[in-house]
Amino acid sequence: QQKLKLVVQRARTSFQTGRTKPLEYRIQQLKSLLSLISDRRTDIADSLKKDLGKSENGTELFEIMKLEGEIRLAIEKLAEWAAPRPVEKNFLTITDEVYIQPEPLGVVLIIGAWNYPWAVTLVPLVGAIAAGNAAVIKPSEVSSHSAKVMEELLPQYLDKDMYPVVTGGVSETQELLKLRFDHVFYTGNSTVGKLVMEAAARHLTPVTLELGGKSPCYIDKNCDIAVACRRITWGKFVNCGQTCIAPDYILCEPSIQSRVFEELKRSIEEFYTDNPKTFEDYGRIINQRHFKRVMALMEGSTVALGGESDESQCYIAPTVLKDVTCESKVMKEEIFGPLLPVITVSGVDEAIQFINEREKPLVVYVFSHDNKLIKRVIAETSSGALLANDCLVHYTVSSLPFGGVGNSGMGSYLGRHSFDQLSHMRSCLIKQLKLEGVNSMRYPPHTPKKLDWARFFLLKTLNFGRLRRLALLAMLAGLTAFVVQVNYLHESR
Amino acid sequence: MNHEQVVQRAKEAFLSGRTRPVEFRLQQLHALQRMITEKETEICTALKQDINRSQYDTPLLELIGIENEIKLAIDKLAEWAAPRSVERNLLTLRDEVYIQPEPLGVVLIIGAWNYPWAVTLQPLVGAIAAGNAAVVKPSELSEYSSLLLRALLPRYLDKDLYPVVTGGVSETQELLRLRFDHVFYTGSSSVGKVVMEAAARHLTPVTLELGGKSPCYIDKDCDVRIACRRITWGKFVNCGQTCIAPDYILCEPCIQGRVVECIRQTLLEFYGADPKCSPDYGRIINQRHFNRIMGLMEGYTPVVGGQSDSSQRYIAPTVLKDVPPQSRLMQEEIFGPLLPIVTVSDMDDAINFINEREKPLALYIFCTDKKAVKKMIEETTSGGVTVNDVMMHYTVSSLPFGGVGQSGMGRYHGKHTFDQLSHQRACLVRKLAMESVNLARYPPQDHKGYNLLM
Repeated sequence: QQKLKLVVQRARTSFQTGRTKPLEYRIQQLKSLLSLISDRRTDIADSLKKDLGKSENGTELFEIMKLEGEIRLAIEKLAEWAAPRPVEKNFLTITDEVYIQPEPLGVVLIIGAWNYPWAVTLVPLVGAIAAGNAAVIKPSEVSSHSAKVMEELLPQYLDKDMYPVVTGGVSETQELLKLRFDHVFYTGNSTVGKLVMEAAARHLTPVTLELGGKSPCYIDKNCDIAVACRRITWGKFVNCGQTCIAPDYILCEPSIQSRVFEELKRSIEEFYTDNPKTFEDYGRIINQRHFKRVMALMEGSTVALGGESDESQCYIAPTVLKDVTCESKVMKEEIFGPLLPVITVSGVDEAIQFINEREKPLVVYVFSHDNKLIKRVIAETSSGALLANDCLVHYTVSSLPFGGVGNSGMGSYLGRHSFDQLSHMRSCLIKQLKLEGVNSMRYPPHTPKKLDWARFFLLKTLNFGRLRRLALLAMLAGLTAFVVQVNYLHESR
Repeated sequence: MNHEQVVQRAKEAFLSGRTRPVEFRLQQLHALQRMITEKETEICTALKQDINRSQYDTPLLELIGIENEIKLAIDKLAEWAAPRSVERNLLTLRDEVYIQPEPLGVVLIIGAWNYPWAVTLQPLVGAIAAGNAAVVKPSELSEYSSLLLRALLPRYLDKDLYPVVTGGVSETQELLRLRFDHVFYTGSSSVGKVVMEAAARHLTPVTLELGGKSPCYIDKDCDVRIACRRITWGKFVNCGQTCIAPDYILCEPCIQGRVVECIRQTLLEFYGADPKCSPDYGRIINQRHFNRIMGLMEGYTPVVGGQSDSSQRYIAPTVLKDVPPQSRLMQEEIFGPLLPIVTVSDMDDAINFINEREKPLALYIFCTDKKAVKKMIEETTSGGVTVNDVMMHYTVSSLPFGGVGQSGMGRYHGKHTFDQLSHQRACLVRKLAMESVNLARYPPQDHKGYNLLM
């Protein structure tokens, strides 16, 4: 408690020395982070195997590659991102410097999650470092092995006063949240998200909340069902369903339901063999509590595929459920596990309605050849993101902002969006102490004539972009005339 | 009808989908434009009654700005609302990759009393443009404006989509218990916290346009006369009740006397020998604020002004020099016509002074040395900066207007309002073909496949 205060205080003091300002420092820290990942790959993979049963290959693909990509992008683009951004001038500022200057916020608190502990904790850190902030990193205690390795390794590579790692559980996090930060970046569930925002409100600290929800997946009856199901299977069962953007449930017409089951079965067997329990690339549920939670969700629905489990290993087989309705337990909360319910709807209209009756999810998935249908789903629903004909991969496109809306979150990140999210965009207007005559329009004593001039110049500024040379000249002439007139009046007083 | 019903009806109106077509939004914006034009006299009268604003200052400070925002939105709406292409990577070369701006739903706009029309209607322009419904809650302290807005808006705009709710603190608290898709609040930091806490319970994002003490540094080598003219204008317009007014001056002792003289001269020029008689000089909004501001001066003798008349809520344009940093004047945002001068030994001292305090909404620097200006900007932070003038960054709609730290979060003006009140939805539209490319990512995984993916 005292200790936490000191850690945060030290980060703040370090920030105030100004050493994160030069881009060289930030790039050096980012390069060190890159070294950490390449030097200690085995330690990282090891921790993930212990936490989530992730295979070395799975780790590489889903945690490390994204992180490395983000670091490399930040190093490459930092000078561009951090530079002043000129903006469009209006008529009255034509001779001025008008730009937006990105600036660090100060000390950022990053609260990680347990499902992709390295990616969701360190990718925001990349943005924090790039933007010139200090950061206090609080990895999730649920992925305890990863948290421990992070606590050990980060200080060996990064400036340990500027980027301290704080471990602990719920009470430590609550203590941290009582302290003052300049931004809080939280990844996790909506319930805790509210608490984080409430705590941040007491200090007027802005927040980024990457939350969750039930991401629906609509399969149009006229699409290539085999390919669709393959992609859905991959998206669903990676990391044993413990992915915030996993397709949570399927919506499709009754006429294709059995085909969907067939194709899902085929893909599951292709990916995980007919005994996923013994297969290296199939993960485990993070802990007993979640294991029990997920198992209980199956109640009331019929198992169409899978359903086997082994509590001693926190193993749940890739499972598909049918006879699911809105009232089923599995539809009451985000599953975050390897259960894939299939709900039948009469068509895209009903699917859209079904989706809109619920909280805005992180993603809406739609599988269809019909571009018009896809566009309709986009126009008539809302979600953090929309991905048509595939799962998860929008996360790999750094130019797309990654985040939620409504209950699925606020704010976004990845690529340049991380940098912008963790910066203050300061508006700068640099004028000169000349041309004082122009300002007379605004000074008292006010007269109707002055007001008319003001109206003329201020309201006309809009079409500046389209003004042709002659019109512009006329405006300047008018302005000169005004200034001359004012000076004359001023002198004759 | 109670608040819950009003909000519910706005929500249903939103869900009907009629704000989706750009034509509808344009039509509403045109109607708002007409309201401002047709009812200018009524609006000016209301403001005269609320805060003794002159009939010229109202268009100058509020109406022209609103008109500009409406015109810009009408002009650019199609562009703002269109899908925004983004850079593709190797994996998505053949896909459609873009950001689609979408409405959020029902926005709550809580206005303030100092520029009641601007701070309520400018956010409303953005809300309408972005396709939202909006519940508008003007400040009860600017009573005449609030009642006029309640009478006028439903005559011009869709009254289900954009209802006006009036009332005081308890009505606002009641409103804040309900669920919105965004809350846009202009006002003080202490209420800002309460607003954000209430919004947190529904995971509602917020824009908070708050305040603070905006410092104004005058370098000894600049043209002090012109600097003081601009500062005087910015400080005493609306009787100091402007969120981005220069709150206090920082300068070296050697120019303090000159600064005081220049301000005195300028005041004479602007408001005459007795500002109380000037039609252009405002009044304090109410007795409570009048007492508050008078209290700040206690124990100090001003070098300019200092006169007051409680019956009119009049406080003369007042300047105080050699103000100690620990004085009451320097503890809270003044929001009134008192201009303290605090002396500093040089620019570095000024920078330290500023950094010891909360991040302000605006920073003003009067200096002709480009290098020094850049240094001061680099070594401080604030919502915005205007160099060699005051407040003008507010008038450039391409510049995002907002605070940082205690002075607020989020920003608006021009396209920034539209973006702030939209959801930027990431869209990736792929095809069900080319499945072979995906093989690398499927289990069983082997080392060869990775490079294909990234």
